[in-house]
Amino acid sequence: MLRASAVAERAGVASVSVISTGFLQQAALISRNLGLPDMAIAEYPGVPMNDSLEEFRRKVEEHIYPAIVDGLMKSSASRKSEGIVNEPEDREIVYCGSFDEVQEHFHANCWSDGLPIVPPTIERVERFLRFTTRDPQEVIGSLPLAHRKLTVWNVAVNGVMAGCRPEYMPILLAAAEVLVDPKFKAEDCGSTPGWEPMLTLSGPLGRELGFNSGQGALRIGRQANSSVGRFVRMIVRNVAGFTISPEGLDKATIGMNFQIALAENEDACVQMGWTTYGQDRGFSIDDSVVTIQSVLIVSPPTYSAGDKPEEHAMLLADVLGDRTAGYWAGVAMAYSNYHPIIVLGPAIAKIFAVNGWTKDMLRDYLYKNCRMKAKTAEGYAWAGGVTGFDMNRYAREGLLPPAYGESTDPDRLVPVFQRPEWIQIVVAGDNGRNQSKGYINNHLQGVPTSRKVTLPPDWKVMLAASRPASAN
Amino acid sequence: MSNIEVVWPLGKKANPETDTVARVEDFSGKTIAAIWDYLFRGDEIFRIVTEKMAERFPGMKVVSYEVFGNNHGSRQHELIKQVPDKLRQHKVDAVISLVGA
Repeated sequence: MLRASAVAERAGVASVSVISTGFLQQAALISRNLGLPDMAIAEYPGVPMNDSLEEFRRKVEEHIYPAIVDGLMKSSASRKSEGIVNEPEDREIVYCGSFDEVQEHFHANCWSDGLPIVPPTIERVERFLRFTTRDPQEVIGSLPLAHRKLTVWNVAVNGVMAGCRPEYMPILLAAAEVLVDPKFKAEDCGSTPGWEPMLTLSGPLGRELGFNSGQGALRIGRQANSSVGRFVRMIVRNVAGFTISPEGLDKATIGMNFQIALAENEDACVQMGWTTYGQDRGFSIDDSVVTIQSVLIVSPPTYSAGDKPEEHAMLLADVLGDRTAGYWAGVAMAYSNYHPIIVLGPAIAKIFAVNGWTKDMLRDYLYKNCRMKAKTAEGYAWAGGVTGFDMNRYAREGLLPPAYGESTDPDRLVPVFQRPEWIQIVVAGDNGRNQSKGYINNHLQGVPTSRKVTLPPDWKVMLAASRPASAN
Repeated sequence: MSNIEVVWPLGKKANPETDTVARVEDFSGKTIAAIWDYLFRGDEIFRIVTEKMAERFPGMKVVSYEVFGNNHGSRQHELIKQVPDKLRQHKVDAVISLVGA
């Protein structure tokens, strides 16, 4: 919304932005990061969704109206631009101290996630840079909302800090490319639902680097999965600017932990004759691929039983679909996107596969069998603040599939999942148990976005030299 | 224990700072528009505010948020790019951007 104001100002048109009290600090930071620190703000006192009609009107007339008129007619004298700000060069030493002093310095400057970091020395950063042929100064992109440039050098520095190994660098670069892709919408990493980016690694590199795809998948504890997941959050903090307010841009009302990187049990997929997740994303089974998407809701551990696929599908539709994804489906409809991941236990996947079900058949079953009342979805969206959502209008305008506009009956049943092909299935977890879990995304914000991992020419030699003898 | 020399973990700013454009001296006969993210009752705010402004500034014209579309929805990037052209097309003098909450 401040982005729209900035576009208007750059087109030569005066603007004012209406912001509620709890977001004023963030608005000031965003204005500065957009390069227009004196953008006019009109404060809505309190929480607009909690006020009665009468109180709402009173606040608009007594507070917002005069603030809008002032903002459009009087210049701000308090915030002025500073032009180009000088900041440290890549190899500049910004601090020198003991290990403990370095930790304190990084905490004090909000350069850490609150956990100890590996100190980013030039020597450590250079070890990461050996795993790419790219120029350290190369700008991969800029990351909103802080609008800072993300370079190959930055990727290495934050990879060091997150506790990654140097040989993870090709994965970190692919992750960085996803984060700067406008389709991913990194600018919304700090939106109030408090979603987290989740990285899924497909292809042979997962096995080669020791990513866990079996028992305890998505549990912290394996260096590859844990540190790569932490790296993604570190970039979102340090380059995109999403640290917790008041000093930063993160406005998660109630957040969640950074996500451990997910890897698929591709051997199980191949043995069952199923496509791998990487293939589902349009790549070859021999490609190593990073996919990042938002995760907002995690389902209960979903135990399904029986030797018939229908028995499992019915329970997955009930728990992962209606009960878990159903609540957020209304807001997702208002943003015309919904991309859940179902992490299917290998023992469950096998029941489907041996009975001739493909991943597409399971997707189709879930799409057809997860339904909710239209008025319930619209009610959830309204309460979430999406007050301009009208399901029938969205269907008429092509923002939702026709199934959402087949009648105007508020009690009609509409699909929880907007398109079967948007339901993602990853086979992972303990082969010795009958459990699956759903990871629900935040609609348009953090849509699944993939990049192929590029390895340096002498990868095998470098990998052998980098790893301890016990790992080779 | 020896000291450790460390480098900076942030990226450099991509946008140099500038000031906003001149404000509007008088809205009489001028055109005001809304750009709305379809959130938090922004349509109601815009209606109430422009009704009061129209009483105070004779001849003030209003351009609806519908002209600009939902700038927070699935077409966000495409619609934001269209904003400058639409502002020129409708001869807009000032914008109210709604609602951050």
